[in-house]
Amino acid sequence: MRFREAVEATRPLREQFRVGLQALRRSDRGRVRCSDPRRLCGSVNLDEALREEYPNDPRWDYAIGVTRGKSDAILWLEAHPASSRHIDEILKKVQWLKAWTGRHAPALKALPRYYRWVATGKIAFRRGGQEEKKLAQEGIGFPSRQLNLDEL
Amino acid sequence: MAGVSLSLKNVGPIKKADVEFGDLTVLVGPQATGKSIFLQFLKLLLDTGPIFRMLRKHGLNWDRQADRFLELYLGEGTKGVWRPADSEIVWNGNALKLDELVRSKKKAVEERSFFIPAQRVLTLSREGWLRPFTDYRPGDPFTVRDFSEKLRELMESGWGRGEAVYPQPRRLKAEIRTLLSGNIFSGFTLELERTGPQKRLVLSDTGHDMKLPFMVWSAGQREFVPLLLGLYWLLPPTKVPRRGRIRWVMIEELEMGLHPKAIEAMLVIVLDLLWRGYRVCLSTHSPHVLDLVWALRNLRENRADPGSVMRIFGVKSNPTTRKLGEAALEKSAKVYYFEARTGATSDISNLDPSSKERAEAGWGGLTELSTHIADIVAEAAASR
Repeated sequence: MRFREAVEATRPLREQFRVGLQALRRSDRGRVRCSDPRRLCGSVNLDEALREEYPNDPRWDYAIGVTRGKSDAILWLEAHPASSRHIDEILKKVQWLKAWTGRHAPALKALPRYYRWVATGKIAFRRGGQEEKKLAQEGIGFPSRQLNLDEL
Repeated sequence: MAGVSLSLKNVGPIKKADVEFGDLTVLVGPQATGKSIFLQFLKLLLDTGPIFRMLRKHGLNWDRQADRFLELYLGEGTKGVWRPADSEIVWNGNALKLDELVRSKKKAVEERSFFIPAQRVLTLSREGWLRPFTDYRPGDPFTVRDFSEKLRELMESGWGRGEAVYPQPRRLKAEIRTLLSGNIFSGFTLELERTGPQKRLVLSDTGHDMKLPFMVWSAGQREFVPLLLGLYWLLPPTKVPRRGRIRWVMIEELEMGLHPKAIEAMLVIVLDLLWRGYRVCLSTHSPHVLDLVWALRNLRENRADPGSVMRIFGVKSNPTTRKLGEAALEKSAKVYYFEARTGATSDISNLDPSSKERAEAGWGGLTELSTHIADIVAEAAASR
């Protein structure tokens, strides 16, 4: 299944698909770099799409479709400040995301996925520490100031 | 203090090392990349006269030959470290020639630096007493022999009968003693025991009637005691903050044999040295040392309260610890990575985890394995 089909098969996201990175807030678009735009197969602002239904839940920010060979993969992207006191917030968000996709988005869940955190400011914890291990256990890579899709 | 720099070119494994010293300077990098050689050259440049005097006092002569001097100073088999055709020293912007330096008649002024070598455990004999300079072979490194001799002199002259070597109320701050007692000595005291003319250091637990000789100490205790005595040498039990004209302290691998909690205690001691106005140079393989440098940089940038420095170590804020925190936030720190492949150094002082420079993001390789492990686990967890 392609990314777009998976998005459109997910009820609350049906109308939310945007081409390229257009679902991302303007301030967040520069946080993603991709030398080959043809690899980008759309995006969804999950946070906005699910705000009404889950106003108080720790919603995840975005889903970005990325071609990977003959299939698509999902890059689940969260733009958030990155200090060690934000680790628990990110972990709650990813746990919420996994629970939500498990219950409501089987088509998206079926795609290969990456969880990435882009820092909206300076990264205030080091590589190799407990924080990175906590994130790794949930499948989240170390945050970066700018995400390079070429490295996926 | 004014800016001080040392550049070595084509010396041992070093192709080019350019180091501008901070109040605290940390050297990291794999084994045999020249960190120790670099620190020993720094000592040589600071204390040329006193080093010559010490060697001559013990009948060691190098006939004004650079290669023979190096065999005495760095140790046996090291004469090839200096290659006359292409080795260079630039000290504070001035090019120096080693062959001229070893021929010079340097006046033996007071020492300006104190060197705590990585091989410090060798300074204690099996019997648990300090070995004199003459107990070593001429081909053993000068820094080890000199350190050993200084500790021996300290212990021969500085202690009254029945007086504990550790803890000592007038030596080290109370907060530091608390950390050391809990994390290294586990309630034991370090005592000087005399049997006739024989002296030895023992760890004593009077509550359980236990006296442990050197050979049954833990590896960490064996490593730490020479370090402790070195600190006693540096930190006079008076109101004077520093010893004599000493302004520089080099400590090789302060983490050697120590548990991370004991390393924490050592880092507080480093902050004490900085507060006293010593310039401290460390070589290390411990990410904890860089954790501290990184924390200080970030606390400084965020104008944190000085009390937060001591909170890192779980030490309560009081006027004494606050002074250490204030000093730590005022001092400059530099970190240099000695790279094995190129033989060059790079300034990684920012320690920015998101740096594009791999050496800086990975803290000179000290966090690389942990990082790599985390990446592999993240990949597996994401695909579940």
